[in-house]
Amino acid sequence: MSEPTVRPSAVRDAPARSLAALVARRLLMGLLVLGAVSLIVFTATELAPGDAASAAVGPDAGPAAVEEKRRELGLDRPAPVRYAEWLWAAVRGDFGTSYVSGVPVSEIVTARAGNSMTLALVTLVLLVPLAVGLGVWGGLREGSLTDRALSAGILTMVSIPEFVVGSVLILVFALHLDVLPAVSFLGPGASVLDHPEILVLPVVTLLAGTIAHNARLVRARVVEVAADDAVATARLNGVPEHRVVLRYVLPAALPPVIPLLARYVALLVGGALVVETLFGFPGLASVLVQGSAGRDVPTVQAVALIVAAVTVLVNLLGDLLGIALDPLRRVPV
Amino acid sequence: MTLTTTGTGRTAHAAPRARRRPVAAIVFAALVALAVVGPWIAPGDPRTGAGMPYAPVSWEHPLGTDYLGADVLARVLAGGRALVLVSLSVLVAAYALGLAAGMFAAFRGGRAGTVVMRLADVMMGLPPLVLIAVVVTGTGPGLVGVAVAVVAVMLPDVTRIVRAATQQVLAHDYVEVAVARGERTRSVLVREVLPNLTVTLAADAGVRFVGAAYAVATAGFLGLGVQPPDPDWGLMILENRGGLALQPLAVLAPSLMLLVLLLAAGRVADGVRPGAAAGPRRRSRPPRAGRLPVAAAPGPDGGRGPAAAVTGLSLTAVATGQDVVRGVDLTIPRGAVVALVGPSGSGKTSTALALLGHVGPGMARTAGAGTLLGTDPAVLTPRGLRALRARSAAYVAQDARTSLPANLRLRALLDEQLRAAGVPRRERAERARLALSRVGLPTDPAFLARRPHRLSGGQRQRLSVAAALAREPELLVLDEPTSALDAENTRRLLAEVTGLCRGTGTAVLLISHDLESVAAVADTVVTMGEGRVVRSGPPAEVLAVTADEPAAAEGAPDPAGRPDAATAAGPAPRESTAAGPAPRESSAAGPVLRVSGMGVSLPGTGRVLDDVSLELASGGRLCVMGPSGSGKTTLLRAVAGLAAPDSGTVRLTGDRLAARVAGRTPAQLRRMQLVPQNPYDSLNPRQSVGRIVGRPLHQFGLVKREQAEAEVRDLLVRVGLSPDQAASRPSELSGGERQRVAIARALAARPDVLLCDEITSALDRSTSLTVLALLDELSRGLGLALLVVTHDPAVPDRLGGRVVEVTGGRLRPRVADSSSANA
Repeated sequence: MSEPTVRPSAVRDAPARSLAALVARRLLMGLLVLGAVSLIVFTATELAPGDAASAAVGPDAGPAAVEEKRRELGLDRPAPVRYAEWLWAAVRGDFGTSYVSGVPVSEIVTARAGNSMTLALVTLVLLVPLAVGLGVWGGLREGSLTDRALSAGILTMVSIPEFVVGSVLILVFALHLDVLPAVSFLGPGASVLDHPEILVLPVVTLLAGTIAHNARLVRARVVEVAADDAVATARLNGVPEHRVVLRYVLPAALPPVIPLLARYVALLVGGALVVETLFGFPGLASVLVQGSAGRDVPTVQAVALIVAAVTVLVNLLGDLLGIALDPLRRVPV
Repeated sequence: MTLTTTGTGRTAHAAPRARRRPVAAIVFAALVALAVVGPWIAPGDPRTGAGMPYAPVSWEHPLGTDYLGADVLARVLAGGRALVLVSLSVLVAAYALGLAAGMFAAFRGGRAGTVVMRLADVMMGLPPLVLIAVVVTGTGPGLVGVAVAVVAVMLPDVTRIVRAATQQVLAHDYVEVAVARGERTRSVLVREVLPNLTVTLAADAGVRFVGAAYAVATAGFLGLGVQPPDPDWGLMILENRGGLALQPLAVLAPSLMLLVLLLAAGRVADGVRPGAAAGPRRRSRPPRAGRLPVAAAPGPDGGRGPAAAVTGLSLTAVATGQDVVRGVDLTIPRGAVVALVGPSGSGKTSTALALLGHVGPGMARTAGAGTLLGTDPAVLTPRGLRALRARSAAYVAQDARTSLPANLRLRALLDEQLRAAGVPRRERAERARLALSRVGLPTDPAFLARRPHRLSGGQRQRLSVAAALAREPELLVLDEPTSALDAENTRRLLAEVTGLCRGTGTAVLLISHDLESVAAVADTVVTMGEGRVVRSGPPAEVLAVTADEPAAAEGAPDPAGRPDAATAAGPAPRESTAAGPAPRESSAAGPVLRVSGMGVSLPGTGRVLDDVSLELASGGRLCVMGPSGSGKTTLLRAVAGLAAPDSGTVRLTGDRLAARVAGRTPAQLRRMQLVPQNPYDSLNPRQSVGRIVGRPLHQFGLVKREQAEAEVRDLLVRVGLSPDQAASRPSELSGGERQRVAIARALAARPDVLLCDEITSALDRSTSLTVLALLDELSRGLGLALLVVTHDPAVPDRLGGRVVEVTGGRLRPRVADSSSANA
């Protein structure tokens, strides 16, 4: 399809806006998004409030007991009131009490959040350089044997679910070679950092899926920029290849990719759900999955909100970084 | 034309995309079929366990048993149906909703578009699996909750893609023409937009099926989807992971099924991605044998031999097998200025690049030898070639909008090329400044700190030239270096550059489509047409010969500059009355079109036109001239009802027309037809020529269905095309043929007024003259009034009629000059 004619006004007005105004705008947008997410989370989880009560009292209780429980949980009051109360409490860090265990949700969350954070950070630190390196490496050799092999590998990895990769890794490294633990067991109060070996398989599993996605993005962008007239002209004028890569290709290719990379952090969260379930990793995501299967509404609401806040924040940072590094200050849409 | 799509770029993307993934498609189809019929062919009851838990492989249990003692084979066979069917339903639901919402949002624009974008933002805050967990908490575990959540996850994305693709399609002139003709919204979306979305959506749907299946399977694994004892691949992996050591098959078998399903789907999706199936791009490499190492690359060799030459050069487009350049000989003597002239697509740029030792992607050199500054570029290593160019050969690319790196400030950009040329750091700034002043650009620090996008088109061209001059190369290749400059600046820049080069002994290859402007500065002129050298010699000689011969076929070299209309027209495809007496200027019946007091403002730009009035007699002609950005096109759009004026009226034979298309009657819309600027954009690539030309006949109910075909053939003949071309796609036609089709489509409505928007600007000179001759003849024959907008003085010269100019948003009679043929 041929490119539509560029309407000059679309490009022109962007640089005029100052970065500070942009940050403020984006922050406000992020808050609005979080507000909308909280509404979705609340509405979706409270679709059937009676069920939440009956789930809490157990299957053998009579209708009177359910009714009693509903009153006790405050489920008989109008939804907007309950939403406002819930949100106000959540903002202050009070997420209520778990229907299932009776423990305050904030306690459950704080006990697990550190472990999830460690898992995510270790993965991220390995992910970004690997994905960018592979993407640039393949993109600069577009069409070559290495690039095609790399692309085929990436395409394969993108389609393999984490739980399949993880299962195979357990089979090989934990059961056959017996070099790494199959289950991330931690004693009460222990931190993941005391037992770094339990991080290895979860991190590798997470990387397997996300590297592919991210390297693919970087590669596509590098290929696009490398085909630019500007790059071809530089080469035709004899600019050496390493200068072409450093001065022409990378500065043009990377800034627009950063917000997209940030977007894929959301996939990392999804992957964490799977990985924590598979390895029995004591993190936040397994709390969410168990809470969802057990219909533990306060727990699910809390974890979903926290995850959403982190996701919005990461996206925000990615957008701002991308804009700050882009010479044209093009605002991504 | 860009560097990377030289010559054949326009047709290459239209080449049929072969389906190259039959294996993946077959595997995928087989697996879907197996998953659907699986529950019926599964041995025994997959839901209940009868045997020993985690029993090994046996005759009775070919894949062993699972944690409950159920047969793994039976559960694997039965465990895919829900996954496949739910994923497909999710896909269908998300597309049905997304198509409607996305097309609506794009067409309405404004707030609807914003809402879609904001929804997508919100969904971005909630990772897909988290949303599934949240929804399932409300609905209880099961496929319904999962399916609802996955649709919710996919919907904003699908809507956004549809919206973006629709916006792209809507920006094309063929949509504009349909809207101007008064096609209803539904008709525009279904006929013009939807067919152009299919490629994007087909590619997208494959990827999205993988995404949906991935999410549904993962939900199963997390225990949120299918509930035990029902079988499900994802669930099986969850259930049996405790027995991985005892009975790995209970995990591996469903894993393998999932893997194959998703991989096959991914491969199929990748196959239909636009462009992906075109095969790996072939890189034309120089022969490996006899390459010189870097150090041996010879440097400047004084005055021996030409600066550059090719002999017998032939280049072929790999995709189509067509020759782009055929047996071209071209020599650039040292210190000489050689001009290479020819219409677009004649192979000029490809020849020049080959001279520099570069064969563009998609192109292969099939014959010919070359020499570049004393070396055969084909025997150099890529690095040696790069070093040779860096030192001694400068290239200024054709399109200064795209050939300058957006991220580099001008200072860095100039520095980078000087650094490559080996100029010492302390000299670079001074050399850059000198070169900038020579091309008439500022040299102050503020200017040097700018980035290219802050320059005008003409400034960018001059900057490119300056970057090349600063290096003091031995060979300078300039590809259309003045296309964004007006005549006076062109003359000045060419004189300056060639003067400088003569002084330093630099050889210059100057590519242009304008023979007249380069003839003044060149020592030798070489004209090309259809990939061959047509003529070569001193400028005066070539000028004299080309002025004498008729510019017969399209694609023939440009006739001498802009002589008077009578000779320039040459023989039109049919007998023409040539530029005889000027057409009727007024008629007793009063004007067919009258615009009075029209003012138009555009959002973001402000007032563009002010108190514009004009009259067009039946069968009369009016040329509106003015530089780009003066509001000529806006005037036409306002007359056509595409842009709403702030004030003023448009009358068609006395009837006052509504400001917008929507308020005009079909009869009014029919009588005024638009021929847009760019014939490469004004024909829907997904429709045949016959369908394009026939559409107005059906829309206005002008002929019975069975007569339409004959009428279309008749129309094609009338515009000088073959009736058989009704079956062609626009991509198979040349620019001139496309413009004829656009004219035929306008004529099909049997209009009284044609609104022609820069109809020659995308065509080379000889083609545009034949198109003008056709328009002239047709309008005489049919008594058509022409309102023509142009910046090309050849148009009023050829068509005659009154000429007005837009300046400062107002219309003024054009100041008569010698070249205009005023009535």
